Amino acid sequence: MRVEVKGLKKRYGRTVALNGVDLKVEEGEIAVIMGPSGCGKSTLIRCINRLVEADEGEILVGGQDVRRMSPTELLRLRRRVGFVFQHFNLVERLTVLENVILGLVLSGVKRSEAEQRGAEALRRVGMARHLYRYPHQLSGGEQQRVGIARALAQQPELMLWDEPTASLDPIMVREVLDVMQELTATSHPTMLIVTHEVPFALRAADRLVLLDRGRVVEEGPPSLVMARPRSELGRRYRDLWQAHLADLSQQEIAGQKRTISACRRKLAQAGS
Amino acid sequence: MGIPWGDGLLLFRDGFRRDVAVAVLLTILLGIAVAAGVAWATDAYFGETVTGLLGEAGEYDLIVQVREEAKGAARAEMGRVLRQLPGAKVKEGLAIAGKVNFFVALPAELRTRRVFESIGTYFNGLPGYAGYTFIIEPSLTVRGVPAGAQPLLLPQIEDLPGVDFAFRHGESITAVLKDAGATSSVNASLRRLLRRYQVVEVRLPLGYQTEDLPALSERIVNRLRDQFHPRTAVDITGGEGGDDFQAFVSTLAEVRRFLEGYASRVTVRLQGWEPLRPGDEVVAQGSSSVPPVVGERVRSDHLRVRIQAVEGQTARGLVVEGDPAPYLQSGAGLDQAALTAYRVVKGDEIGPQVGLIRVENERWRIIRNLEESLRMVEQLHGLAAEARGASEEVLAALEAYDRTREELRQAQEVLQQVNAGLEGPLAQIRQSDVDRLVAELNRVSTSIGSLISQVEGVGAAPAPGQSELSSVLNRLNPVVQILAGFRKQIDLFVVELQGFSRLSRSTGVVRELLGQMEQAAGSTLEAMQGVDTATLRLQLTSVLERLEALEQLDVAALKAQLEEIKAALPDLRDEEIGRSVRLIDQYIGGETLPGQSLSLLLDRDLEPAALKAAIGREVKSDRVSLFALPVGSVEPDVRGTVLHLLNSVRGTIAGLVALVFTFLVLLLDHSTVISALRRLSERRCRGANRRWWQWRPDASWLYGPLAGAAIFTGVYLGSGGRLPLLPAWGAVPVGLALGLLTSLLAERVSPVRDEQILAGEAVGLTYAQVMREIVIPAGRPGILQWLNRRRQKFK
Ligand SMILES: Nc1ncnc2c1ncn2[C@@H]1O[C@H](COP(=O)(O)OP(=O)(O)OP(=O)(O)O)[C@@H](O)[C@H]1O
Ligand SMILES: [Mg+2]
Repeated sequence: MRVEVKGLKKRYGRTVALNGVDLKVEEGEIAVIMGPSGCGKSTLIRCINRLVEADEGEILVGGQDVRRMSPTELLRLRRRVGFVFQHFNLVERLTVLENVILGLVLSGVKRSEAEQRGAEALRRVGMARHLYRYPHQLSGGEQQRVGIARALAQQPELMLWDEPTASLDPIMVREVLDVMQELTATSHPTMLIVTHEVPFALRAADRLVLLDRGRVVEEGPPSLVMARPRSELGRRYRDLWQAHLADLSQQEIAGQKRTISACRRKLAQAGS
Repeated sequence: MGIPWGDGLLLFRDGFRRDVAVAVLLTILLGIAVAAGVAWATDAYFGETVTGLLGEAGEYDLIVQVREEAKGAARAEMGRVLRQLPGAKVKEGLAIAGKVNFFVALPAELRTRRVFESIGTYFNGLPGYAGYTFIIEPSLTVRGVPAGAQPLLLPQIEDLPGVDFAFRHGESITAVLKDAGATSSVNASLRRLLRRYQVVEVRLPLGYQTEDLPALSERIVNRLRDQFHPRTAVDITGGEGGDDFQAFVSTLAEVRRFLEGYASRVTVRLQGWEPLRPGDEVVAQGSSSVPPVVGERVRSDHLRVRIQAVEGQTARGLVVEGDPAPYLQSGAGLDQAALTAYRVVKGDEIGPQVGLIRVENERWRIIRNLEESLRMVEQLHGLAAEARGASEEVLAALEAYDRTREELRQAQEVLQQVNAGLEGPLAQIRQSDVDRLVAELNRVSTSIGSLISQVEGVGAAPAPGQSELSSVLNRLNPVVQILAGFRKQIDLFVVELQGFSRLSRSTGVVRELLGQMEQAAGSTLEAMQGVDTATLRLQLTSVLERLEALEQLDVAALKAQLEEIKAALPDLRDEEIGRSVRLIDQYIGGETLPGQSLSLLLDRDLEPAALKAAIGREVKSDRVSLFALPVGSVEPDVRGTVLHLLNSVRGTIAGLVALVFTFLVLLLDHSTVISALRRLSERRCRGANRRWWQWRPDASWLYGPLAGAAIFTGVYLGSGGRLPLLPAWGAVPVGLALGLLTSLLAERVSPVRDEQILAGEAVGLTYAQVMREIVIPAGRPGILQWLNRRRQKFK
């Protein structure tokens, strides 16, 4: 599903959250949106399936203007769009499976079919063992994986991710990132991902969008943006990325050393 | 910006509106059932208690109360009383507030007016008897019917359809009904009957004097008949005497009269140019050393007088400030300046001259008289002694008088003897005879002399006994005059006699002389005999006794007595009296003294103003006051009253249950909806990004009050709730208020997180589905949740 945003504006009372955002994401592309806290990322992404009503501008999803949709059209759209929340937003009183199939069942999918699809989605995120647990019995990472499964079960043509790892501790972040890596690596729908995970973003993104104070300040392929940042924000992200790469090579050297010594040990064992 | 609560109202799309409506409706029905049920249960419980207290309906006719301590004796006596009422039953009930209640049931043949009207005479002999109460059922009682109106109303009440008979007790008429079903119709017709009349109390103005109250009221009634042609115009002035208040007012009036009797009465002789009106104040010098000066302030020691009445050129008033003593003591002795009175203007400024002042004081006069009496008493003692002396002198004079008379008689005898001795031609007068005669006559002369000096010495007698003494002396005096003349004759005769005896001794001359002398002595003696000395003496002794008694009087005690009287006179200062009188006047104002009021039974439709005018003309005063009262008010029998009371208790309980129920339902059910509404509204803008004046009530502030009003009004009215001070329409604002309160508390009672709503929205749920599947099930258990379960896909 192609997404195009033109001149999007949104304010909350005195706060201007979006101040004329233009954005294009082609069918099947992965767009990563980054920016400092409060710059309007969540607002932008929520405007796309109208969890937030924009004030001005156009939002074309699959060629249709979301803002002009009737309630029924909107519901139909939302069923084709998966949304992953920062805080997982699981329904506390429902089991893992029920959470995943809630939308399907209520939109008319037969319960058995929905359960099959739900179970499949949960399997994909590695949660097949926990179908009948309740959210409060799961760790944060597990909950977020259920959140992802819920979006996947919709068989979405567009996936919207609003900082899926932001409220997780580093180990859980890993878990979730692995799932995301997996999803982005294989065939996938169009994705808009808001995240602060710079390495993941740069690796996964087809298109990098930097948002600052309600405006897009950089947009383009990550390599290009990182190579020639045009904005202060862009430069800061480049610095972050380079520091990360340096760190990564240190880790790699240490990792290789560990592998060599491990091999040596194995060989010595085999020898004796 | 759009409607501020537009976002919230999204929630009511897709059928959720219907869910809520059904829930509210069901809530109302359930609430009615609960409130009415609880109320009914209480009602039933209390109803049973009433039956326990009063017996079954119509079982007993009256309750006779007896003081608890006399219970045993009363119980024994009750048997004897009941023998006079054959067929009557008695049951001893509970003791309440120190009184034992005996329930008495009379047999049908004794349930008559005659028995009921005299029922007290049967029971008032019971030991510890403390009254009785009728509990005849079914009955209706008209209370507060003046005795005079009762004979007129009683037959009319008995004629009402449904009334068996009626009887009077105290100020009430009780109508005994044929059956309980007639109660409301008889009640209505009784009210209609009473509405035809009014009791008009006419209070005559204070101080109004009437020769004959009944005659006056007859005149008034006649005038009203002539003027208004009413169906009813009857004088029902009762002989019951004044009530407590009237007694109080009359006491006050009495005190006022008493005080005024002791107050200094000030009269101002007006000098014509400055008119005074009652209520005005004037001022004079009083005991001050400074006379009033026009234009200056009134000094506190000036004499300040409040005018009460003005007649012609004389104004009368009472002292309100200052001391009137100077005017009382020296009266006319004061100079013009001190006597001049000035008007008080502007509160306390001395205005123009108005006239001359004079002050009289009854108390002061009494005291002066008492002081005079005291002085008299002190003198009395001395006077009595003096009077006694005088009386004793007069008594002595009387004795001298008697003595003189005796001597005179003896002298006359001697004269006769001598004279007789000279009978015959050659009779020679003997020297011895002459000597004897002379001695005798000298004695008489001396006697008369001392008598005269004594009588003259009595002199002026003092007051006590004066009249008696002088009457004695007056009787004596003429005789004493004669005696004085006689004495002179004697003296002359003696001189001559002595001369003759020595010189000529001519018998003829002597004889002649002797004859003359004898004659004079005879007439003198006669004169002396004319005074009844015995009676005079008696008179004098009685005077003496009286004076003696007077002397023995305990003067000190008498003095003390008089002093005491003087001290006992109220020592009220004029200012105090003036102030008190003014206060009393303010208080009793237009109040009429007891006895000076009439009660008339009149048609209801006569206008009080017209009546007042007509009566005022008859009484010749416009200060008549009128009070129109109803003839009485209808009350149901005791059970009816209690049941009526219970009914209102029932209403109150239903109302309270409705209140609690509504609040509970609002908190449990609707606070969830309210919280959800608030979340949706907050999406548009939340918290700090808004200034306080930008705050708009969102849909939650509308929903809560609406739900509250709908539920409370429905339950309250539906269950027949009736809270004191709350009219039926009042349910709406109370419901609104409850809803508003719920709106305030909602998020604390049933928090709803936006994340939960978003979760549903993001996967394409309608708002109704979000509410049904996510919000309501997570909320508090209640009717909404219970109803929701059948719509819920995920149980
Ligand atoms: N409902 C709301 N009412 C008022 N202000 C809001 C509301 N939602 C967001 N804002 C404000 O709008 C601005 C943009 O918010 P948004 O959540 O889109 O930023 P963000 O880039 O997602 O930040 P973060 O990294 O913290 O998630 C912020 O200043 C935020 O405080
Ligand atoms: Mg955000």
